[in-house]
Amino acid sequence: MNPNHYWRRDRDAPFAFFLEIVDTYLHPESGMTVDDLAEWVHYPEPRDEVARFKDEFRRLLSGELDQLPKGALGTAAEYEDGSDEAFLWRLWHELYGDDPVTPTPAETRDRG
Amino acid sequence: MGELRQLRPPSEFRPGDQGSTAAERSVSDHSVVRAHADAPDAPGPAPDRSSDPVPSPQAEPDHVREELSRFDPRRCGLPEVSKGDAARYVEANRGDRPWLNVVRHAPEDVRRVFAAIDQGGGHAQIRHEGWLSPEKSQLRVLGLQDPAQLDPAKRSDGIDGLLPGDKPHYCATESSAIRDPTAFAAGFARGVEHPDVRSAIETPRVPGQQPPRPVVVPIADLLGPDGHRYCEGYRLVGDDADIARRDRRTWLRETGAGELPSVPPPLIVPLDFRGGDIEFRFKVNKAGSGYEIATMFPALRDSRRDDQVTE
Repeated sequence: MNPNHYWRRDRDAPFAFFLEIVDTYLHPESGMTVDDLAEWVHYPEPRDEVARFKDEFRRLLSGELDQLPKGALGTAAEYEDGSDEAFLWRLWHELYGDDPVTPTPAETRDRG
Repeated sequence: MGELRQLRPPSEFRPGDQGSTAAERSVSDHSVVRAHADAPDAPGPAPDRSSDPVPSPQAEPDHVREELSRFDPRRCGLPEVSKGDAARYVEANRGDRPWLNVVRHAPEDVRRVFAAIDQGGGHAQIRHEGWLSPEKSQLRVLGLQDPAQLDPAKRSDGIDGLLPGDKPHYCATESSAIRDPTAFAAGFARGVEHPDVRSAIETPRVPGQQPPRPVVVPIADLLGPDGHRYCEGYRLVGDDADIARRDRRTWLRETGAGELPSVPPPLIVPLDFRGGDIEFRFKVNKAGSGYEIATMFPALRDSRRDDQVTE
């Protein structure tokens, strides 16, 4: 299977933003690690794009994974978990610990 | 850009390549051949290039020399290096940093580019340049053996050569290199003047802000119409790259523990970079003041057939 960088060709495509962040931080050639991504995610000053990342992450784990073109997440992260789903669940726990995938009422209120 | 110098034969070892272990030689001797035999559906191997028109063996053309001469390390977050300093840097450091040996007798401007890059935080000159023998590139994909790791035992154990603390090395589905120091230096010098690369490097560093996105530039734009011939790389075989990477890890873990592997051994095929790109990635520079090129490597372009959304 050839690489699939669909998010680079169409930045408005579904989950393009999420893939862009994963590619930038987690691709093995990036020179960065999940700790760098965690630092961005948990930066004290709230940012819209951090909320967007988490929102897209939640949607992927809540039934929208089939909207990702085949091979795209593997191209971005080059993970060795074997599947998109396994990678996403591992990453969720590394970034957010035991946070529920379903937004809390406070998060829903903040987004609204 | 016109032709650069003739490529060295891929089988030619570079200084610093000696010392590979028997296991490394064994892996590299067999895997590519097996990859062809076992994977009829795998991406096709690079065609035999012996019949291709070969760039004429000559010193770099005048315009390449001029571009290299104009290279300003400070424009890409690297320390200024004079020509004299470059020669001294290479001589003083080539023992500990054997990738510098390839430019020991190179033109001054090529040496200067390498000396500047080597004083930054990036790794392109270590993992994506021609000091690597094809075997080292293959072993990076097959066995997660880091060419930057100079201790053969640690390299064999998959320990990263650049990260502190004996962390495991990880390689993507592919490993690639520009296998000629002049082509590499010219590609870097040209790349840092590309508008998209300039925009990335000049991104102001703001705490909490993401680093610049990767940038891809056609190989032909940086290395000329035959530029793909300076590029070499290998890719894991498998209909599903996600599974191939997982199985590679499983195989290495199980065989490393002396167990009977539960998955087939990883296999690779050589890549053909015609129509491909050079990918640039960026990270915070050593001084923490801005961004620099984290790495630069040949990359395949996507196949449009893969744009299909999963049913």
